[in-house]
Amino acid sequence: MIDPVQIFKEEAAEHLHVLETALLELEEHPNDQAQISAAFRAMHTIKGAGGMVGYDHLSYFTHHLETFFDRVRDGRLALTSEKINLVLEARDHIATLLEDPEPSAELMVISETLLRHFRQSESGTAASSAPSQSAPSVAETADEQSCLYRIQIKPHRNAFKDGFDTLPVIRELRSLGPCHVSGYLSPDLLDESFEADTCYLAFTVLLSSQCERAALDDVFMFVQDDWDIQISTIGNDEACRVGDLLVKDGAISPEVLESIIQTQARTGELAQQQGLVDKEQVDRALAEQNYIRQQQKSKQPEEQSIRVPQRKLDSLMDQVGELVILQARVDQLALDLEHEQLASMAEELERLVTNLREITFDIRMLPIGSTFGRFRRLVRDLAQELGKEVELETQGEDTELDKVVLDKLVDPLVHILRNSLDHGIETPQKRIEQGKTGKGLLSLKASHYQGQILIEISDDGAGLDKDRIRSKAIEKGLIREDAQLDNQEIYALIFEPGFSTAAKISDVSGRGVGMDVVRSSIESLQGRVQLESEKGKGTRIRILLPMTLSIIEGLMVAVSNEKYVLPLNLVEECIETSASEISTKNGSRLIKHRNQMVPCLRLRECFSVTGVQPSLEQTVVVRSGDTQLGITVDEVIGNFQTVVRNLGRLYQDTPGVLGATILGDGGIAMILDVGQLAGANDSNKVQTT
Amino acid sequence: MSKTILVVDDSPSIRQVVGLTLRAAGHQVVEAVDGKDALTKLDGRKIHLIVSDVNMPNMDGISFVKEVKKLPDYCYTPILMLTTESEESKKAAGREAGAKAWLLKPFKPEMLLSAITKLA
Repeated sequence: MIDPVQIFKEEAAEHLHVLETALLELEEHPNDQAQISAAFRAMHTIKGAGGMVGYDHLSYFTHHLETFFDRVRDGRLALTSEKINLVLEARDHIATLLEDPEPSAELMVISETLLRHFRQSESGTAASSAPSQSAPSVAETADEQSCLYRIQIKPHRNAFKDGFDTLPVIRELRSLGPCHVSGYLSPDLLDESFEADTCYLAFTVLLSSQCERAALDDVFMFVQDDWDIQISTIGNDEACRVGDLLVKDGAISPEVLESIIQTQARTGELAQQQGLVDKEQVDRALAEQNYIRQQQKSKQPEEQSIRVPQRKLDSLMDQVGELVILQARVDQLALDLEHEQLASMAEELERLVTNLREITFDIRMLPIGSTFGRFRRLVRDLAQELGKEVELETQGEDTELDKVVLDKLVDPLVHILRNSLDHGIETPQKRIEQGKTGKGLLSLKASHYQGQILIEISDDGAGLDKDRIRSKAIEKGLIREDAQLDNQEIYALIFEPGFSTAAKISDVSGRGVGMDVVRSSIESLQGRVQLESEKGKGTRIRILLPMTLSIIEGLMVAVSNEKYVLPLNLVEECIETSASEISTKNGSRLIKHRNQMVPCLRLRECFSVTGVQPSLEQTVVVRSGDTQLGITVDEVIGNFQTVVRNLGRLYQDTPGVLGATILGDGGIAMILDVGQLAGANDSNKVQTT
Repeated sequence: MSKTILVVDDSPSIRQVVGLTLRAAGHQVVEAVDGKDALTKLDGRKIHLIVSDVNMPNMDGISFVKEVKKLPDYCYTPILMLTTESEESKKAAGREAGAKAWLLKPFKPEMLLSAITKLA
């Protein structure tokens, strides 16, 4: 059985996170009622649940915190930044109290001290600005939810003659939100004889939209004078009965409906049986009913979610991985046997497995926003500590990353942020002297880039001093004194082990472990890190990461009997090359590709594969960062989607190899690390093991 | 979706602004300097929408609309009238003639585009 205390701890940690986020929001917008409510709810839940599982002291402390905050919620107490600081402190204290249900005496003393502070701040200032201008109520915020409209459109019979079409109106309505449109012949005009240019159409549109009523009226701007337009809202809890809908559509009168209901049976069927309405009308009403119910259901507060231990997700992923491999084998078998039935089943299986794989993959994906959220507190506290003013701007919070990648990303990002705050952003005074605003800007952006995830951390601080990096690198023996380096190479030096430019070691960063740790952790995620900087203007660090580590879209190639897989997202082009087309220059081979000379290596030589080299080879041009590399192989086999298996411990550090995969026929193919191959080729030290 | 739109206005600057806006939104534009000129442009080609000024020499907007309504090929073509605040009585006459959509001058490009999506 799972320990309830453990569950409470997890739950409380989540609520504390909510509380913190709300408080930080409130610091910017002190009157944000929604955030105040969120903070209050978080406290309340912690108090209640804590008491249930034996955290008596924590419950006691949170109770008083809640009492204090209740006054804020009522508007009796104004939320100053001083009070927010106090609540944040209390929040941290709760986090400490969570560690043990029976806290030490010291902790209890701290609790009392904090509570005293609360009482003092409470009596000190009553709400300075009485909330006379009526703070936004909860009801108002609820209004932002989408509304279900029922729009009845009866175009004027002369609509066509007036030059109106009904389609643009409906098209515009559709652009406002999900719609259910039913069109029918206008009941009023049914008895008339048909004329080609008379409009007999009528529509009922059910629209679920957040737009205001004015936006709806705007749709009918030109036609409202002539057409019969009726707009009503459908309440979320309003029952929708077929009979009512039939009345609203004008198919039957309320009196007729009443008489049908008396007989107590399914209204729609009965009305139809009795010849009051035709089947089409009933079907239409039923369709509307369906749509309304669906929309009402979808507006049930928030999506339900469940918590699942990471372990279960991992084993699900493993099983799916096995399934992908098995499916590839079935595929192969069907091909070998030329068995038509088996082949079609294999195809079906592939479709299912692909779906299953995508869903499983999706479950593991988390938006990066939660990670960004954690940094807000960090940045705020650090900035305060360092006496700097910093605004943290985040973008692309909903970019999704594999949870494993996300978890491993936190440390390097923290390190980079600390660095930016410590060395990058200057003190307000210094900034103003340099003609910048006193408040520094730190920006965190996540986005998709060429099938990968790009994370950018930039600041508008002091930037990097190229000359200083250079002299430092010479001093540390990292480069020779006469080394010719371009900007990119100089900046890359700060990622070298044992390099730290901070003149004096401060608390925040620069404790010997430097940016090299950042680079190695990013590289362990198959990512790349790059830095750009301009002295006095700021620094920008770009991190490119794969979306996941466990599944790869690959291009399979062969050398003699060996098979290799290249990550497909890095492949640019496959070209045929004969041995003579490759020119050799200073020991490195070059091929001409789209008027550019691209360095090129022969996989056969990299891995010392034996066998006869064919006269006509294939070269796969791949991209790694900004550099291109040609990889010459015997044959390109094709796309291959596969699960990445880690190599055993003995082979784990083999350069140029990212992992391995099991093929359909049970064989094994190495997955190549293009970045490492490119790097190795650059420095002409390709391993020939 | 690209549409062919006939723009009728005696002011070259209005024609230019309207034309630029419409072309930028991907539409084809046929220009005419007054009602009479516009009628010659209705020569069998497909016109999805007419945008016309009211006060014009030779043939004004209202008469032009009346003429269009007589043409079997074009009588169902939506017409958007461009007018100024002071022409309320004209507006009624225009509606009477069959031009049901009106846009007040001066207008912003997005207002024109929004009006067009309502018509065609």
